[in-house]
Order: sequence, then structure tokens, then C-alpha cells
Amino acid sequence: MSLLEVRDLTVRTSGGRTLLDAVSWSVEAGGRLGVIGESGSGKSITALAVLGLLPDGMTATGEVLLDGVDLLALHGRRLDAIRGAQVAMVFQEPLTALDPLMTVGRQIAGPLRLHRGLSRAQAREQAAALCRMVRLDDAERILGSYPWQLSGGQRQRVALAMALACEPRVLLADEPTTALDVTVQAEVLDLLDELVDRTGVTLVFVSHDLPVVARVARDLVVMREGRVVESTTVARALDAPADPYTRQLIEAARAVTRLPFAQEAL
Amino acid sequence: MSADLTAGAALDPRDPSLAPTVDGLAPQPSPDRSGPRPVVARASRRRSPSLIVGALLVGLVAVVGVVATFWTPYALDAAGAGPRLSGPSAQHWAGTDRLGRDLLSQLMGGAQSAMVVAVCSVLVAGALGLTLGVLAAATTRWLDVALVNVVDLLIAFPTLLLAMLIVTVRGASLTSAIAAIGIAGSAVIARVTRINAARVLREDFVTAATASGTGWWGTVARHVLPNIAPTLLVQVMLLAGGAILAEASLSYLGLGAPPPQASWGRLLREAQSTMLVQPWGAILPGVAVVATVLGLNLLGDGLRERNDPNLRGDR
Amino acid sequence: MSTAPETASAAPAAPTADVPLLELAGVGRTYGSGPRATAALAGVDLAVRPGRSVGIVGESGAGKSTLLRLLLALDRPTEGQVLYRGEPLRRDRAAVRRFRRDVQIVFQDPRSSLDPRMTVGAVVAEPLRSLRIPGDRGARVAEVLGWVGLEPDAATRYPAQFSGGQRQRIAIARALAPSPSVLVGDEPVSALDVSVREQVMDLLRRLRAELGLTLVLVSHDIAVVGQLCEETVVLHDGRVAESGPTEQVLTRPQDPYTQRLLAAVPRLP
Repeated sequence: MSLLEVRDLTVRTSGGRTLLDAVSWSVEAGGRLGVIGESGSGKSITALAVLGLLPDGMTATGEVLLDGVDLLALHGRRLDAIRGAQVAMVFQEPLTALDPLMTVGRQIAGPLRLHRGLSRAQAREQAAALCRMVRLDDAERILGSYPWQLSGGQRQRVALAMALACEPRVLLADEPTTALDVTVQAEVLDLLDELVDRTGVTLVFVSHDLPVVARVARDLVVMREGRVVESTTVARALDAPADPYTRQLIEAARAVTRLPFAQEAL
Repeated sequence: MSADLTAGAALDPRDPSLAPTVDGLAPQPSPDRSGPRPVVARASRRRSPSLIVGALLVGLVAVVGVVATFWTPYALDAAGAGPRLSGPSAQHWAGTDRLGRDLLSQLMGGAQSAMVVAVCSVLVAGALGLTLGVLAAATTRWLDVALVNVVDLLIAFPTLLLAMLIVTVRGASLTSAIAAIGIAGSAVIARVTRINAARVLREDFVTAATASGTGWWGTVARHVLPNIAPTLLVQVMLLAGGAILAEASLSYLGLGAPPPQASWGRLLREAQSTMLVQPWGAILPGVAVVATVLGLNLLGDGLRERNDPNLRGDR
Repeated sequence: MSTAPETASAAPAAPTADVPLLELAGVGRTYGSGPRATAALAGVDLAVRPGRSVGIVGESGAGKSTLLRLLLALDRPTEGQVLYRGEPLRRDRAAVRRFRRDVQIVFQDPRSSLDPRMTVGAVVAEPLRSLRIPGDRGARVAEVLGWVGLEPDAATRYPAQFSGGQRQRIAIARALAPSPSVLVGDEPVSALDVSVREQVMDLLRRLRAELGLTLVLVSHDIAVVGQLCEETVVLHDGRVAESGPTEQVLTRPQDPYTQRLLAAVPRLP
């Protein structure tokens, strides 16, 4: 029984261009879905469409079913109630995803106060706990900091804390580690892995980076130019991809990420 | 890459130490990764109405101005060519002014003045402003700071006051007006040039040009100027409109070109006291100024519209 | 000492294969002065020898851009020396021109490294023009465009009409036009899609072999660097954490940072 199902999702710009063409995929509760594609594949648009975050002028048709409820048909307060509480999102760019004028503590507390009606003190306590959960020790100092005072890795952890604050059912992650250094990326991916395991949240991970997707996802959807090319599992794709585009993508990824001299893990 | 510094003369846009290097952030790849892209047509499909209307208005005035240089229905100083302050008639399509001069000829002469002032003051402002702006953006920091202060001073100085100063020294004439408006306008051009030139100088292709052996002059001439040209062109259009308004104001105050050179501003002043008798004497020059300035503004807006979405060529 | 891998033929002009084409000796670059001074680089020793491509790996803040600017003589070190063919670079125009003919660069972002207002032909011909290189420019442009796999008629079009991967090729063609011995790449494939990345990497490999080019690649991606360069330098916090033959650095890293870096690279099972 799928928790989140996208059915025939089509997104068009006001100029008539089709960005997504009848995209369909689903993920069951507790699942981990990776959405992979190159530039122009529409993978990020898909994630934005789920939460109704498409830029002005774009229209979406089709259905996005969260436990049977069509999110595309929701507007205003009903949609707001879903965002952050049932479906949360983490974005690529840590610099712009956080409000530069608000302390981090207030930002993490935001969804808690909004959806859970917590008082300021209660929310602050929860926020501290969340900081520790995302391995940001020294929570007090972090909560009082502004985003520009934190490193990229720290900011992404804050974003994760915000996203998981209200214990959503689905976590959408759009290239969350692409803008991070390799060493930081590894830490954040480890963290994500652990958090998803611990909280049982359903993960939809969008990326162009195949090794990263392979690290966190079990199921795989391959997108190309607005269409779903293949729906499979990571294991099957790496072993025996059915679609020629997928095969080509995987081969290229292998070629490009190959560390020569085939050395063993240290 | 370095933060976009639009103000702050003290910060050198080219100083690499000002580039934010927050640890944990990998170099930002361009969001538009490769992938087959459609061939981008140069012009946008929709024709901009501003552009068309603006071009028509300006074109009309320009043509009239050019024609007036060689021919007007009556001589510009022909006082008593017709009855004083008469309304439009077969011999005088726009009527006459209080000296009996043909109003239509005066209007045409005014168009010529307007065109001359617009073109010349824009040339002066452009040449001066461009030089100052490029020097500020492309040379040493000290020169930049000095020039920014000079330009700010100039912008703060009221054009009319400057004009009066120049007129006092050189006497009222078209050249004085052009000089005053040109110098005042150069400040705005300098500011726009400096910001945009600094922005272009930060681009990779400029570093690539340097690495290819291109020197200072080559970089400025072949890379900076062509890339700031579209923005500058818009500014120039707007400046031209301002120049015409300024000239009309100067003439209205009696600081512009004296007769027989016709000027819409002076026509307005002369028609002031006799408006109730011959309203056209005031209405027509007024409409002329408005139409010309509006046309230039629309032209500028239309060009600006064409610039922005086009240059990006992105989805 | 490393075992000699199959090296590309040495650059034709080098009289002694021992003299490094480019060398940084004890180089440091500090910005600002007094208490606010920041050292972007310190104590860097690096040598680029003909036929032995060098890869410089570093994360953000490591000093890669500073290092690049120093290598390209776009900036001067505050300590140490930058040597070109064994000599410090002279400032007279002829010397600088000779240097620029010999050492060329390809940038990371294919969108901003080509002047959008110039035709591809003009872009590629710029070094020929600025460096006063004699000969038929049109022919040379067509030739290098062919080397990177583009049609000669590309010269009449504008960069905006090409994809990111194609624009990167144009940038490479421009760098090749003056027949350099050294091609410096600043994250040359990072901004490209994976399949295109593979193609451009193959292109660089080919050019290295066929033209005897020595590559100096600066990247955060150790796989790219490892595949294309015989020597690897790991940069961390403005200092060289580790350097040596790629095989050695990748299989037996000594420095803890290098080890952490290698462990962090996501690998496909």
C-alpha cells in the first residue's frame, strides 16, 4: 500500500512548454525512493509539485496522493496543514534555504509552534533536542546563531532538524548534499540514513549523483526530459538495468566516479 | 563567487578575499548543467508594444526636427507673418503666437532644438560618463573611490543650478544647455557603467581573456563595452528624455537658446499669459514635450524588456 | 620513487625533461595585513613536469582558486616563488606573452567562461589575436574545433546556442589554439552532467596523449583528478597535506586528511 503516489503528473509552463509529462511513481510507507536524472529531467520540479511549491505560472495536472488524499487539489490552509507536518522538504542550497534574518532556533521552532501549537519555551526545548538528534552538539550556541554564522554542513543539519521537527510522514530531499564538500556530504548522508531508520519516515531523495542516491535509496526512478524512463530498485539498476538510457547513465557514472588503482577501503 | 557589491565605494569588487568561503560548501556548480538545449532564437517572439509606440513617437519628432533644419512653412523670426494670437487656420495650421509668428514653424523648430539637445547632450554625457565609469571599474581602487565621490557629488548637484552657473559664464545658448545637461547626465551614465563594468570584469570570460594574453584595452573594448552596451543603451534613451525635459525647463526659465532658435520651453513661457486667448500656443508645445519624452521612455522600456529575458537564453 | 607509467611524449620545446614547466617553491599568499591578515596559501611546494599531469584536490576554502591564480600568473605570491621553466616569470610583455602561449586554462562554468556577445570563432581565436600568433586564424580555429569534436561551422554561432558540454569543448578549443604545453583546468567537468562529464574526460585523456599536453587539474573530485593525472597534490586549509604519484596517494595515503577524503567519496557498489 503506497503512502505517496504520483499519478500522471504533468506540469506545463505558462508559455506552453511541458516540463513533466505524465510522471508516475509511488513509494510505500517506510520506503526509500531515489529519483535520479540529469539536468532538464524534471526531477526537482516533481518534488516541488508534490508540495505545491511550483513557481508562478506553472500548472500541474494529475494526482499526488498522500494516503489517498490528492495534494494537488488542496489549497490554502488545508495545504499548509500538510506542509511541514505531513510532508517536509530539504533543499539543495543551504545558503538560501534558511531565512538569513532569523536565528536558527526560531526557525526550527517555527514548524513546531505552527503545527503543534507549542509555547515558545516548549518549542525551544524541542528544538534543542532536535539539534542533538542531527548531531549538532552545542545546541544552545547553534540555536542562538544566525545561518551565516554556521557552515554549510551545519546549515543542512538545521534544515533536516526543521524538516523532521513535526515528525512528518514523508521527507522530500532535493539534492541536499550537492552543494557540500565531499567530507561533509558523507557525514550528512550518514546522518540522513540514521535518521530515516530511526524515525521510520518515508524518504524521497532527488539527485543527479548516482553514488549518493545508491547510498540512501532502495527503490529508484530514472527520469529524463520530463518523463519516467524506468522504475526499479537500486540493486537491479546497478546489476541489470532494463532501459538503455539507464544503462548508459550507470555506465557513465561508474566511469566518472571510478577511483583508479582499485584500492581497498582504508 | 564574490558578493554582488552595488554600493560601497570602499569595497573593491575584484578583491578575492571578499569572496565568501564558508567551509563545508563545495564550489557552486552552475545550476544549469549541460544537456541538449534547443537552439535559442535571438529575438523574442512577442513584439513589445512599448518599443513600437516609442519608436513611432521618437521617429516622428526626429523626422520633423530634421525637416525643420531645411524648411519650415514660415521663417522662424517672421514676426507679423499673420495676425497675432489667431487660432488654427488654413494659412497657419497651428495658429500664431503673440508676435504673429507661425506656431507650426515654431513647433517644428522646437523639434529640431529638442533633437539637437538630446543627441548632443547624450553624446557628451555618454563619452564623459563611459570614461569615468570604466576608469572607476577597471583601474585601481583609489581611482575608483575618488571617482565615485566625484560622481556622487555631481548627481547631488541640481542640473538647473549647474546650467545657471554655466550660462552665467558662457551666456545662454544651445551649447551652454548641452554642456550643462551633458555634464549632469554623465554622472548617471558613469554610475551605471561602473556597476555593470565591474560585474562583467568579475566574469570568468574576462579572466579567460587575460589568460589568453588580452591586455587592458583589449578587455575593455572587446569584452566590457559590448556586454554593458544593452544596459547603457536603455539608460541613454532615458537620459535623452531627461535631456529634453531639462532643455525645456531651461528655455522656460529663459536660460536656453535665445531667439530665433525655437524651443518648446520658451514657447510655453511666452504663451503663458495669453493662454485664454490662444490656448493652442500653450497646449501644442506641452503636448510635444510630453510626447517626445514619453516616446523616449517607452523606447527605453521596450529595449530593456528585450534585453532581459533574451540574454539569459535559459529555460 | 614511482614506477614509470606510460607517459605522454614530452613537450616538444623542453630542452631538459628535468626542468619543471611550472613550479611553486615555498609559495604563500596572504590577503590583508596586520591582525586581519588571512593566509589563503602557505608553504606550498609543487612541480609540474612535462608529461606528468598534476591533479590538485581540495575542498572549499582549501586555497584552490588562489593556487590557480598563482599558477597562471594572474596574481603574485606574498612568499616564495612561482617559476616557469625554471625561471621566475619576467614582467615584460614578450615574456608574459610567451608564458601565456604555453600555459592555458579551462574554467568550471561553461556558461560564464565564454563571452556571450562574441561568436564561437572569435572566442576561440582570441588567444591567437591577443598573443599575436601568426598564421591563418580561421584555419587554426577550424582545426582546434575539430580536435574537440565540433564542426567548423560552429565558429559562426554564439555560445548560447550550445549545450554546457559543447561550451566546455569550445573553452578547451580556445585553450588549445595557441598550442600550449600546459593546460590548467579549474573544475573542468564539475558543472557537467554525468554522461557529458565522461565525454569531456575522454577528450582530455585523448588530448593529453595525442598532443603531449601536460594537464594541471584543480578539483574537489578526487576521482576525476585520479583518473587523469599521474601526480596528485592534496590541498587542505592552504597547505599541501600530501603529494606524490597518484597511485601512491590513492592507495597508501599517509596524511589523515587524505584518508578522510578518500573514505568520504561515495562509491558505487
